[in-house]
Amino acid sequence: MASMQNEAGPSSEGWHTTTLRIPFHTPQHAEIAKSALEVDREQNGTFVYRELSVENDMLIAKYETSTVRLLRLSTNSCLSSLDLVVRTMSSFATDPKDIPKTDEELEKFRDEANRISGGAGTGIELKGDGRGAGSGEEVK
Amino acid sequence: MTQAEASSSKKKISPLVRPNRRLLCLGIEGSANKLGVGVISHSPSPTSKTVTKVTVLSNVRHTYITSPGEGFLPSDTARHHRDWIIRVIEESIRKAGVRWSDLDCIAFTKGPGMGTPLQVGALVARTLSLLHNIPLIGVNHCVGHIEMGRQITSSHNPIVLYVSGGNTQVIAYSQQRYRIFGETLDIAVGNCLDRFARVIGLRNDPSPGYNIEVEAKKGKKLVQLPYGTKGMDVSLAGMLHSVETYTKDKKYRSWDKINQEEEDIITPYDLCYSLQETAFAMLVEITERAMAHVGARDVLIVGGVGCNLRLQEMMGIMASERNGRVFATDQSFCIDNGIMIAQAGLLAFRMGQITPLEKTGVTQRYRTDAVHVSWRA
Repeated sequence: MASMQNEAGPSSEGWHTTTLRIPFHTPQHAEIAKSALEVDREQNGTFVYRELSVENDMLIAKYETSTVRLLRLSTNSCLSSLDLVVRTMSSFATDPKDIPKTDEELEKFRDEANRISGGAGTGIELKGDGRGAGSGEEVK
Repeated sequence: MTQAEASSSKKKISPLVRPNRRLLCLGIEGSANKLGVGVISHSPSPTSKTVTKVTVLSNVRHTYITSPGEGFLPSDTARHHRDWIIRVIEESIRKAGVRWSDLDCIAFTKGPGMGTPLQVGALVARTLSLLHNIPLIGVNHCVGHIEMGRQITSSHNPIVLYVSGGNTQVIAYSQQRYRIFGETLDIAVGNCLDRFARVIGLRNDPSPGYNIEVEAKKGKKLVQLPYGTKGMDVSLAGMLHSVETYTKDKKYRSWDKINQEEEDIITPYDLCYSLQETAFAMLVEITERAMAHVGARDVLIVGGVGCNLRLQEMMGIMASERNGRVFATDQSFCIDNGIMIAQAGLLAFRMGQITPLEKTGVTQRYRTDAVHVSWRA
């Protein structure tokens, strides 16, 4: 990658470098974060070089940019994406210690959620008569 | 042979196979200022061997509303989505009463839309997919609108008018593609209404378009605005500029300066009314032209502007003159929502169209006719 950039873009000599090290709960989570982040290409690709790698439970993001300003912008967006990934994991990753909910518990849980804020209940069947499923509830 | 028989004999067999168990899909939408998450299920109907039962288990949304006179900028919208997405997903999952292990696929909006807000949805979708090992489906936003509209209204093969803040397209289905028959040459009709709402200082709550619709009912005078249909296409920017110029006219009186006794004045009500009448007349015209070309009788209106009752009424008059029907959905489905992404995603999933992880990047430009509609005959 670096050699390709040397040919195509500006020389990466004298570029600014920073390395972020973000710890995760498990090496798997670090891998997931890496895979999820890697898909989005860096904006300003010719002037920003990004390398993501995983070391044990640590995600390492190495940034090389042509200007200090780009370094700030690219690491900033990387960190806000990482924050989102971390929050998604802490909210939705299954804890191996958790016992999976039974159908009855799930039902109770659902009814409660729908009672509090007025939802569809058991779901609304779309019969194709032009009528929709309620109002697309806004979250408060 | 009656008309119905003629059309049914031509009806091809749907390539969709009836599911043998309940299929669940979570849809995440965040291409503009609405963040929506919904869960939909397709299950075999217990009574009929051919029917698939489609059920909306939850349809949750949070809208980023800016103050009057301001639009939503990509970076602020992305921040809103980042702040809310966890809560919206939690709510949607809880209301649907499903476990992560129950889900068969996760659908997200791949495009078109604003880049950074789209990225938020895609990033969370990817993380969830990898955490729980659920396949991902990247969905075209416009196709989501069309599929949801088709499902709700069960209109078989309509001309689709897709009108929203970012898109204005007349679409007809042919050979597994949604072909764009006509579209706007410059700005979208929703964009036109939103921008005018900003000029006259209307609130963005619940939406600028809705507020224009309300104020237009009090309009008495139709001011002249340039009418810009160009063949199959429309041009709206000139009309917007022209209606904005009226607000600088000597005869223009703003909201608080209207004197009932004064005659020969132009009020914001008149301008809202005139803008709607002119813009919608253009849309009705190009829709009618597409109907004549294709020989279709039905019109399906989708997209945020589609919940405007005046547009539905005008379209209804045109359709009735052609012995056709108009199908429109209520605001829960017209306005961007997660359930439509789930619906289009689940249809693609049932045809085996899964998006591999490396192809899940978002794209701001994604034409409606770029999608292979494998689930239709």
